[in-house]
Amino acid sequence: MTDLFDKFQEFYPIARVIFIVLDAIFLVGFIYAFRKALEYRPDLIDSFRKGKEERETVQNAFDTERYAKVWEKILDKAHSAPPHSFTLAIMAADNLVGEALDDLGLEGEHIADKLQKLNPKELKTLDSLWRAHRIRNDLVHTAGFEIKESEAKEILNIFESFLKELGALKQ
Amino acid sequence: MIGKFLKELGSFFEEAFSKEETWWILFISGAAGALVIPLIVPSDLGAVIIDFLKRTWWLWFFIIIFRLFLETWLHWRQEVFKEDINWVLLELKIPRLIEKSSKSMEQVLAALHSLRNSPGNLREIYWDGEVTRWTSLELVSFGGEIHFYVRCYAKLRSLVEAAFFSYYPGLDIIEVPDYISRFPEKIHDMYEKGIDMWGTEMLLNKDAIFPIKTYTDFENDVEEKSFDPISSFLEILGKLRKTESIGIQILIAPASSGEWDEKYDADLKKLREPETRKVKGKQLPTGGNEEYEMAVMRSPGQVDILKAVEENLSKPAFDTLIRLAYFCDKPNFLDNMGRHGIVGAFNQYSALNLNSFRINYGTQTRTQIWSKPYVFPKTILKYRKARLLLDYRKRDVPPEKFMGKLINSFFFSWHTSSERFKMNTKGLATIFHIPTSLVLTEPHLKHLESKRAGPPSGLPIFGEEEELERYK
Repeated sequence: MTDLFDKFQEFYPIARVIFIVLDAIFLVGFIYAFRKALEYRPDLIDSFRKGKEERETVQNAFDTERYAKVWEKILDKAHSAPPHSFTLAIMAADNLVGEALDDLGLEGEHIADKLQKLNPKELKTLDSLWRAHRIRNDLVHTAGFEIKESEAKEILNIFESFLKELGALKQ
Repeated sequence: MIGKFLKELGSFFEEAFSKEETWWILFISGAAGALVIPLIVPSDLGAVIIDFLKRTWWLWFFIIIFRLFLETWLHWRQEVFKEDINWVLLELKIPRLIEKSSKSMEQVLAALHSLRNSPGNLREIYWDGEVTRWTSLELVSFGGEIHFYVRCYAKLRSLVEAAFFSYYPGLDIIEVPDYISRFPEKIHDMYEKGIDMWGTEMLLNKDAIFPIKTYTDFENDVEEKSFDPISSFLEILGKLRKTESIGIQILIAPASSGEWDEKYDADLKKLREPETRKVKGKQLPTGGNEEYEMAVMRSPGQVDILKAVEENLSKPAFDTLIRLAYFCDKPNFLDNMGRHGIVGAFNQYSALNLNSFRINYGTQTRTQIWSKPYVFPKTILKYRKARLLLDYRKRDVPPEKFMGKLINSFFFSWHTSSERFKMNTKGLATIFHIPTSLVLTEPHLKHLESKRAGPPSGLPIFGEEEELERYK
């Protein structure tokens, strides 16, 4: 019995030190986690206050580098396997125009909705773009609609000049 | 024997400590004890206890701080995980005629259930803080214009769409910007615009083992005898004024089998056991009568309950949270619209012998001096509105851990009332489904004007992954 007690006495200070160290570690951990968790607390009180008015900064809406890259890719692919590749390229170009219109902040379900919000007096290429867009629609929706290579190239040019006028592609 | 006893004890403590009241009792009795014990206990004993605590405080402190640390840490990691989930809001566009019963929705939900994620190892539990991702099924009306939305984890989008398309072929699903921007962002803005709100969460009246009334109870082979309960929601939502809007969100997170049928196995066994009655038999030679127990025949009602419960447990369940919010400009504001209208529509599903819905009173934005907690009703109301609005906007689910609830609490708004309950696919399909052909939806919903058809055959179908992505 005394033997056991001796052993216990021997063991006691070690256990004490170990546990005190652990206590300190977990206390620090607890405080750290608590403070971090507080950041995710729903801010109810802020809900009663007036919000800061955020000023909208007007920037160039377009990431021109990305547009240039994508456009180059479209042109590359257009010549890869005619005539199907031209169809694909026209569709891709139309999508790119859609993205550019999104970047301008125009709302609408389809490209046509967005185009209607643009002012034809300010954009010279808008009329020709409408024609290109219609041909694209025919390609997609009408079975058996075919397009000549020269025509396809012209349509791609229309898309390009429209993107240039918007400022998505550099002049 | 001892093992069984310990297990019982364990489950008792688990249950007791998950309740808020226990903690209050412990806290008060602890505080009282610390004050009173030194007064009444003889000084020797007090000295011994203090001496004992002095020598071993590090052990007790360790036990407490370790638990606190673990819970807080887990809560923090889980909040980080929740914050990082990318969501996508999909609108369900409904064709003019859809001849599908709610059973299709049940199958959709079963498919959604199989998308369940859960943390598998220590790293995922404690470092990633993974929680089961939830999906939000929403029925929203802006001034009488009704929309069906599903908000899901962005990466699961195609799987969720596939689940809907395979059971509702005529449906169209499109990604839409979050409509929540049409709702007020803060209480302050809301008041400034002269809008007021009412909102609540819903709970089940009884244990989740009992199902609510499901669509099979509303359906009948004869069309005149069939109903679709969603029609009362559509009628109420469709009757809103231009300035009113109502949102109903049903947040569902798939629950594992261990939390559902396996957990309720013992309860089911208890229900299955027939009642017994002691019967006196022959007279014994020693005097007195022979006694034996005889099973009492179940009444037809009891058989029905047992049947319903068994069927309920046979289908996968979701952790469910139903949240309602009603906004209206102040002159026309009438919280009856939500409090009685929408909640009343939820009453359709109540079966008194089984289960029914009720308002979760702790989250309802209606406080009175004679209801709990009896003080500062106006301030509490303000806080509750703020919490409900924030939770609705974030489609938030309450934290799992006690420490999480504590951290998210404010003095006037303890985050302990918000609760989720289990509901199986059939129950959920009854509450939220695409309106069947029985419902008059023409005046309330914007329909798809044409049937969807495949693209023409000549269309080139080669392209790269990113290009295909757009046409999904």
